[in-house]
Amino acid sequence: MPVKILLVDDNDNNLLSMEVALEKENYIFFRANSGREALRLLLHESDFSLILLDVKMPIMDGYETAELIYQRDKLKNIPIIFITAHDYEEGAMFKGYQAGAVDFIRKPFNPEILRSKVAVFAELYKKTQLLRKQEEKLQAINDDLVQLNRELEQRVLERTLALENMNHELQALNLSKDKFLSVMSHDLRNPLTALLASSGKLSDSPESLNPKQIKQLSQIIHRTSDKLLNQLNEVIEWAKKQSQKASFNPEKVRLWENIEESLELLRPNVKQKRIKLQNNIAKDIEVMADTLMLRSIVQNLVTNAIKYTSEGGSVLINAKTDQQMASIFIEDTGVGMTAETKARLFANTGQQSLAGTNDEKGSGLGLLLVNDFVGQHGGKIDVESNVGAGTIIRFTIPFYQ
Amino acid sequence: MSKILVLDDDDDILEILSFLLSENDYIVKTLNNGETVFEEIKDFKPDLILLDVMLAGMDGRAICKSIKENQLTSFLPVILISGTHDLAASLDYPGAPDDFVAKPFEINYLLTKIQNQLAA
Repeated sequence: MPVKILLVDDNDNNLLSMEVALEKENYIFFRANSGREALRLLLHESDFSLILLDVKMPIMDGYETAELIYQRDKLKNIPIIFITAHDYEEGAMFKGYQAGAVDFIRKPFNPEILRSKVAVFAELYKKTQLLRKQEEKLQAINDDLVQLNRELEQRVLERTLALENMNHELQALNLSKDKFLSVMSHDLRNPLTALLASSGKLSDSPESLNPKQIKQLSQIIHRTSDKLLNQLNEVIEWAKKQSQKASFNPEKVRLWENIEESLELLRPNVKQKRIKLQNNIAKDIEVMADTLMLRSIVQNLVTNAIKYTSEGGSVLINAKTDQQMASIFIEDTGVGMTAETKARLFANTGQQSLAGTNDEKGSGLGLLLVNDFVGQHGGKIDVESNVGAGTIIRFTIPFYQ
Repeated sequence: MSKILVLDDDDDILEILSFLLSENDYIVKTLNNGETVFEEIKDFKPDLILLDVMLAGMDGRAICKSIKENQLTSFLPVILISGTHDLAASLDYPGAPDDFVAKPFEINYLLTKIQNQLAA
């Protein structure tokens, strides 16, 4: 750390002799021949450790110069030693100290005294600088702590939000369990009631029934058994999906292929209803998806599209991608739906699903699952539909680039 | 012959109830939703109502309550049928049904309950 000393004297010889006396000490010297020059130097150069200031100078003497120096905030802390040839009088010394002097040296000076006095202030300056650096370091540490504290608070906030979200999800899951229970008890008990009552009648008193009545009862039995089987399958599928939920496993999936496989199971249905089912997705699109969930999403949505489309209609599947997401569209020429039906499509209202165009039945669990699976992919699902004008269902999943 | 109005959103239940009740000499009319129940009471003039708790978009208990709170219909006996709720313990509240049967029901049990209500 260099020690800079400003020497001020109107006599060049004096300046030289001061420099000579101090030259071995490795100081950096700046010289000024007048108070004015000293002030000008102090404007441009900073970090002086000490000023040696001659008192008796023409125009502006040492005291006046010191006063002007100390008027500047930046310079207030530079110690000044006055060099004086005057005989020391108490009055003069008092004037010097008032002007800010820290010490006096008499001219002609004793080089030894000059050296040791300057050394004291040089040392003081070094210590002050050291302290300042420590203080800066402490300030930096403090700033870091404040920043760390802020980050911690932010993280606590984020965690709290995450917990709240999880809580909402758990509540939603609970709701879907409630829905499950209600579907189980309502949708399974109803066909069972009809089944038991009609089979009971048949077995209790077959002799009292005419063939027409027997036929009617048998039909009820057959119909309700069929209904029961469908409900049971849906419940099993739902339960399976619930247990798969724990292992959401997204991977790179070729969209066209996955959808083609999903449609395989539905082809017989489509054939029976003479519906055109077409997968128009570009073959090179890849997505990040859980294969099983994606399959279930597509099967549920396409099954619905088929269900509500009359014979001879069509169900088309398309996809579009943007920077992050792939949007998949399932477009049918079916019966469409009212705004009211649309609004409660994905809501957990305990609503039974509407019968299809061939009177196909469902429990309403399918769309609940779809919504859930799309949500697990971070995607969205929406519906565009009008009564009689068909339906377009769009869902998004992450696009793999 | 007594007349019974049956409300249930399941058409199979309506068909088998209609079959069994007609066989027991009741005149039966069925409704698969609650929207027109008051018109039907006015036109059909039933002696008793069999009412399912869970109707599409409507709660059978609310329909029962409005029947019981209407001066013109409050005298009508209502038997509530439910597959999801055990309501037997809570028949004692304003607008409650006169009796309760759980699904799946035994037909003779239901017939006895109907007879009891009509005899009362």
